[in-house]
Amino acid sequence: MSVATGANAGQIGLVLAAAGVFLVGGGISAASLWRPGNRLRLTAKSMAYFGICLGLAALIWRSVVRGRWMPLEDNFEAMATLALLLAGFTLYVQRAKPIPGLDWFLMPIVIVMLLCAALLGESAQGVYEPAGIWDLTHRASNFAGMAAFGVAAGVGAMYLIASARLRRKAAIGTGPPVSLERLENLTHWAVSIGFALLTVGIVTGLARIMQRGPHTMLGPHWITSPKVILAFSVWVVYAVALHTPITPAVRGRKSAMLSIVGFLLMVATLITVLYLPTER
Amino acid sequence: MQRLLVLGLNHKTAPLDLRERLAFSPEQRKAALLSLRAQFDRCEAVLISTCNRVELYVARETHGHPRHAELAEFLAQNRALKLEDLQSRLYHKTERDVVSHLFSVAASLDSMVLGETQILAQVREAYEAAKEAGTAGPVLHPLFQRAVAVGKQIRAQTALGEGRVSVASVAVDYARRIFDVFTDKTVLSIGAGKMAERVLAAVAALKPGRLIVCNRDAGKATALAERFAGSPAEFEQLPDHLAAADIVITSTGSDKPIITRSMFDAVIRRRRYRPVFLIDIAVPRDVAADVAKIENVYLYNLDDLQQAVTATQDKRSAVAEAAARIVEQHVSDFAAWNRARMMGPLIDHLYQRSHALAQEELARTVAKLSGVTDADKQQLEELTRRIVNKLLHDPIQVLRDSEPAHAPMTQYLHAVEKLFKLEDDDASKPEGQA
Repeated sequence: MSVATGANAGQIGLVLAAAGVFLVGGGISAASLWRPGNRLRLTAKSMAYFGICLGLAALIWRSVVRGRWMPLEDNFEAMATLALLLAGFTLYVQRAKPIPGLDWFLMPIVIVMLLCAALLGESAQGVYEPAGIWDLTHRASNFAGMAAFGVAAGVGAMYLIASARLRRKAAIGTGPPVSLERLENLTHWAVSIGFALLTVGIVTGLARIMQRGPHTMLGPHWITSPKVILAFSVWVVYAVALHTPITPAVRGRKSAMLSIVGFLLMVATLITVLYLPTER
Repeated sequence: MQRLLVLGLNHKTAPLDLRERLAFSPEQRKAALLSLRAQFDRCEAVLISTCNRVELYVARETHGHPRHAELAEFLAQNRALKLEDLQSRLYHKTERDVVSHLFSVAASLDSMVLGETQILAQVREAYEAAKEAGTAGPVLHPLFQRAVAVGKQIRAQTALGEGRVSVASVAVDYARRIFDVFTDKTVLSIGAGKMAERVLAAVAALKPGRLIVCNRDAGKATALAERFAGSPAEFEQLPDHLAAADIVITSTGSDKPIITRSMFDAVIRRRRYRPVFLIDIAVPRDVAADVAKIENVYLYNLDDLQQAVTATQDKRSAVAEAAARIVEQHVSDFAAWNRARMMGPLIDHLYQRSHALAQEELARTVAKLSGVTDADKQQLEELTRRIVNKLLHDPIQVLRDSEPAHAPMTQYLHAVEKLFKLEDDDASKPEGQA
């Protein structure tokens, strides 16, 4: 059992600074709506990269102080890492398949997670057992999967808004067009990646439970524990969302709603994992 | 001293028929410019020719040629038109009004569709053609360069060019909000009216994978399909075509909806709920209103599209005033710059010539006097210099402050040239005109 060293004021300050930088970057990005131009867009993008650097600096500092490089060992690290993964995922998507305005939906989640890491990360000092590569795979795939689901939820929300605007025949904005088709494809793409990662996370988690039997923190009734039920629910929701090409009745708005519901369930799972006595 | 003129006609003064007959192709424009230069060898000229306007911008000596009447005659002869047919449709402007007009044209404030974006490129093209023909000179170069800059600024800093101004382009905009890729999409046109044709032309520009034209009159369907490299289809198989189509343009003359809710419920199931964009431009409507309630169906009728057009027009009208203020500021700046450019060398020369005359007379007088010391000579030189400066001060000041409202600035400058006999000397001319 490792001993938590706790994040020091400097590390918490860095994470808060990262949240602040993301917030300012988001404001600049929103300002580019009224004053379109490359300068504002580039500044917003630079702020996002700077925010990621600040967050990474906090995590590296923490690893140096602790003397261990294994990530995701407590709640502070878990939430900060997840926030940075989501921010990184957002930047990647904006680079590969740009969708104007996607950051306005995702960066607020990043900011909330960073604030949670800074303010609540130490309130329930969960310490994870570093039990080898499978544990790390379990955690890493779940967290990366959640970042992908975050993207899917953000894009899904954009789809719902865009679809509602089209249905009520709202005036077309002046920005570059973002089509429903593109948003739907991106949701499907993010859900596919997230689903694959979540499946890996669930399988490795189950393997660990099977290996240790009733001696895990979930106890002998692990199958009815909130973590397992929630994780399975998330898996089912995304499995349905992923089937839209062959189950067309759930395509479009329904698929977008499923991606949001799935993400909310995933957040509930995360809270369960981080703040309830359970196996990590 | 150069004088600016413009002579032309546009959509406000001449019908399409006349504008068509007066229009110049790029080759004809070049030939016309060279022909004008051959007739009036000391003039500069730029010819703008678009579907909505033909305008000939000229810079020439203040009392030189061509005059407006000569330009009208030139245009009529060049396009083989009767002068009397043309004359009543032509407008002409001079000096500052030319600058103001050209800047407004480049800013799209004088266009048939306020804020349309093509005119700026057309102004630039006209200027480039004149440069190539060698008919743009030191007066028209800066004028057109500034006009293009003003047009760009208006587009960048105001919302004058934003939004769509035709039903067809609005429909395309909405299509692009629904679909990302069109190469795998099918477009179905039901009916073959003029309006449908226009919308179909705009949608066909998106290069859809398949285009079907369905009409009760098979001949019309075939003709329209051929125009857009599509395929004609039988009207009786409409549900099948609807199930295949992603974008449907409908404009039949039917007095009852041809697409009903029950019909489309079945269609959308066959489509596996793939989104469909229905553009109903028929009056009365071809698509029942409750079809819009079906999931993944985006139904727009003529009113919906027209509202977007009206909103754009209202928005553009609202910003036109701000754009006009920017244009007016640039006109004033350009006029001031041009005045300084023309006035500076003239005033310099006036002083030089007057001082030279005074020195000449002084030398003659000193030669007649005896016992004039160097100190006396210096005093006398200073005296003549001061007299010349004082004599010239007021007229120069009046010249600098001359109000364009009383007479064009070039007239004042020309008067000074005449009065002080400066016109024969090349040094009095602005840079580049010598």
